[in-house]
Amino acid sequence: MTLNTDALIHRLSHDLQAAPPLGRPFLRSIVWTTAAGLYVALVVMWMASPDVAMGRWRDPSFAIQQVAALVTTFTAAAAALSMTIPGRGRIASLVAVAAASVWLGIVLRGCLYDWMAAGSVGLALRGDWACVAGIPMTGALPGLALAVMLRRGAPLHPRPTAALGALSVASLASLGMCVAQPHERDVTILVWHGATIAGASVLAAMVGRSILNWKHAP
Amino acid sequence: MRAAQQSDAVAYTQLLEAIAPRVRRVVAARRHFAGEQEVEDLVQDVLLSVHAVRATYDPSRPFGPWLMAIIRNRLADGARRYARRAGEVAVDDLDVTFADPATNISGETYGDPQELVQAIRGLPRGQRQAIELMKLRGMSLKEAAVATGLSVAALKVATHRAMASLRRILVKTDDTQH
Repeated sequence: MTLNTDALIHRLSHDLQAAPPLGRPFLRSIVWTTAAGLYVALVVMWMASPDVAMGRWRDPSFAIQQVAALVTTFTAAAAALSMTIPGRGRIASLVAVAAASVWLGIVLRGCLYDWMAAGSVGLALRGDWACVAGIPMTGALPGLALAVMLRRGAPLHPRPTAALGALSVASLASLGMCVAQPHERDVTILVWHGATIAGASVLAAMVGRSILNWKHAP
Repeated sequence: MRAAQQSDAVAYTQLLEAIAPRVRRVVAARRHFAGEQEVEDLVQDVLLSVHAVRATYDPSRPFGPWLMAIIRNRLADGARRYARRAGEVAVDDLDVTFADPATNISGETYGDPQELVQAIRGLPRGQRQAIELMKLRGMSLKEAAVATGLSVAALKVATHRAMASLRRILVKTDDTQH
């Protein structure tokens, strides 16, 4: 760079545009989770009849699992948004990882109960390609919206930020798939949904630097 | 910074002038092996970053930790870039890249400057601006980005498209003349 620092300061100050402070990550996460949740609810209504979808919530273990997925969605989105604010994000990301662990623990507990109730049949794995395809398809639009929100922040940790964003989106889409389609065994959710969520997070981390980058950097 | 977020240019100038020496001190302390120019490049990189993400500053929080987080990030990125460059091996420019002579004649040169000027004038505005700033005035990508307000990626794309368009136009002109 050959530009003089004083000249750079002058250029940056010249024609300065207003840049109102971004809202707090926690509040922005509430806004995104609400909007994305409504969108996923519409997708679920399109895939399954409302009576059947609502009926599944009467099962307490199903409800607990989905609430854990929703908490993971919210905390992961809040963590991703926090990580784009300089000097913040560490605690929020730990909370998100804790929430995802709780969700994973609840699914594992379901697998254990299935095994205790039905033996090895309870852990018999069936293909669930509909959900493997459905999670990214359902999550595409909310994911795009979250990516736009993340790009308004500072790309300080692009890989973890993108991974947390993908975790948030995929958890919500997984919740939608669980409500829309019956899953006889929790092992199906553990393996197929878990693998899809993990795959989405790893993929997002790999392309994180392309999505979230300093626009002026060489 | 609060005033700068409301587009107060005077306050913003004062802020940047006040933080520049502080940033320079931190950069020089953490990159004590770096030369003066390299330190200045990093200082400018930090200032550009502060400018790019000024909306992320929360006025209810202290400014120092926010600035330090940006400095740390830009220093880490600078170190990564340095490590990448250190792994590269410099080679002399080679005049001949392929054995076939046909691939090595005339390359990017073009005989008629007047037609080149005409071709540049015929480009879309964004592409013409990218060519003028970077190829004719010799600005770096960063400088051109600051001058135009475009992102580096957008400038790269504009330059690439402009070069492709010029190549196409000039080859066509050349064919019609022969």
